[in-house]
Amino acid sequence: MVLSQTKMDLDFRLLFPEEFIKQILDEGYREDGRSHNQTRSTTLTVGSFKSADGSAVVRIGGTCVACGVKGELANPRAISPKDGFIVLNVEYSLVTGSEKLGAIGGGEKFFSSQSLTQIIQDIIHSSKFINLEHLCIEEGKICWSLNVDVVVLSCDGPVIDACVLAAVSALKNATLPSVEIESEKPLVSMATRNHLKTGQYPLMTSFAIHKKEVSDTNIGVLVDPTDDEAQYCTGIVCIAVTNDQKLTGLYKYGGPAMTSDDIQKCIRKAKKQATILVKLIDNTMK
Amino acid sequence: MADFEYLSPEGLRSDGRRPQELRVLSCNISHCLQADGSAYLQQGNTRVIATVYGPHDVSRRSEAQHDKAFINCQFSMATFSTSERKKRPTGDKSCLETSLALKKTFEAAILTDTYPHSKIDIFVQILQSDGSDKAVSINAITMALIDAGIPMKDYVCATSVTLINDTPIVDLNYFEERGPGPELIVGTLPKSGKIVFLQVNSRLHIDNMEKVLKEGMNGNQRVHTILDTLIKKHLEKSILT
Repeated sequence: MVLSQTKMDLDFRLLFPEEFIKQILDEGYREDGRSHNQTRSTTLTVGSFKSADGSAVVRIGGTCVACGVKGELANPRAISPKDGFIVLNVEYSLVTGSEKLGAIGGGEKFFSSQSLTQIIQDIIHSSKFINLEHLCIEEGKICWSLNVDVVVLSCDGPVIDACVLAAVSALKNATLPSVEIESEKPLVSMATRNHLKTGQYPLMTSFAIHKKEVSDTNIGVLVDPTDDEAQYCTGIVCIAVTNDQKLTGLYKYGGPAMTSDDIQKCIRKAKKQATILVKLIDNTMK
Repeated sequence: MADFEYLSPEGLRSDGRRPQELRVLSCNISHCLQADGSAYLQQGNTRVIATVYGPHDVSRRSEAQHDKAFINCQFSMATFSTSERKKRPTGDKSCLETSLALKKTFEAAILTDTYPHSKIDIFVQILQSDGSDKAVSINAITMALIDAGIPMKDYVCATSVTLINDTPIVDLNYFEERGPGPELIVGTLPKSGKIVFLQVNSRLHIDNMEKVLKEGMNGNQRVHTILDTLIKKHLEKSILT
């Protein structure tokens, strides 16, 4: 149900945005007409940036994230001579106006670019998405280093969900030229390009906690909060589920104490959302 | 590839265009709702996103000017936008130079005296670079500024031109930009035909200047027609919905 927007509603929204959003959330509605556990539609495009080896653009509502993967040849570390590297970097583009809005990126309340980088790097490694040994070309001598650069272009809600989806899709889309070693020197043949060998991949879903106390009706938890909603929420729960429905990461920052039942409810929703996203990826990558 | 053929004997370029032909230009206006004005512009394979915030309060008191608005312009390139990975998206010297050039260009075009004591932020990011980055950025910023409703003297349209075998070539792609010819980037106010931005990289004989500049200005007229139709279409659509 979309709220009727009379003149008075609009004035109230303009003058007391916090009170407005709190009131309609408490009544069980949301500004854009969704229910509390309804997500916005997600769109995914892959391979649009030809300058990168693999790329993806993700839009969730007004949030837009672009990701490009570029491979470089590197020397493996002495401590792990068989492993290549995946170097992930998340950045708020200047376009988001991050500078104008303060140190933390454009409107996004919960995550700085550094914490996004760390969390996403962790869940990509822990879900065993890409076996680093597959990036090795010759043990101890040469390997691939994949630079995964995620750029946040506009923030309206769960940036972290979009970043994970973009990074995963770009890596799945990436192709690398085949490399052979001839008399100690790497020979790159651009003619044959191969996709990476990938395993289970993570998908993230965020929930915002807007009540001071989470009641047993679970009305205090919103899935896929918009930027405006997130501004008036106290905490966030981010759940990463792999495509085969295994939990690979759970982060709860701020907000009231939650019972494990509430967390379980969120996990169930995250699993459902993951199946939708898996379908989206499968359809796009066909 | 000692002698790469920039112009075939039939007079066609490496990507099949005629010398004066522009690449396909498409633009998505108002795609970003958080910004006051935004535009995503694609000219061939060069893709640029521009946002405008403001006019709003100055963030530092030193920026306040009593008679005109302060314009802040920041140019950046995504690390995956070029064939060689960029180390960082902003802060290198060429980015700083471009930021300054764009700032000066739009200071000349925006009616800054309408907003004293305030600031207008312009942010541009190249998502994919295939030549003419500066020119495409200027076109994208123009669209974003119009979307933000900031008063300007006119559109600012820009194209890059080079000279190969005495033939001026308009709207360069990456290969042509890196080619042996000089590169001239010209930004004009198309209605009055006045130049607000002009840059010549590498040597260009003074006798050829006139010819190349004229071709650039002609290119700008064509860019203007395209941008103008895009804006009108966008307005029609937004009025109807």
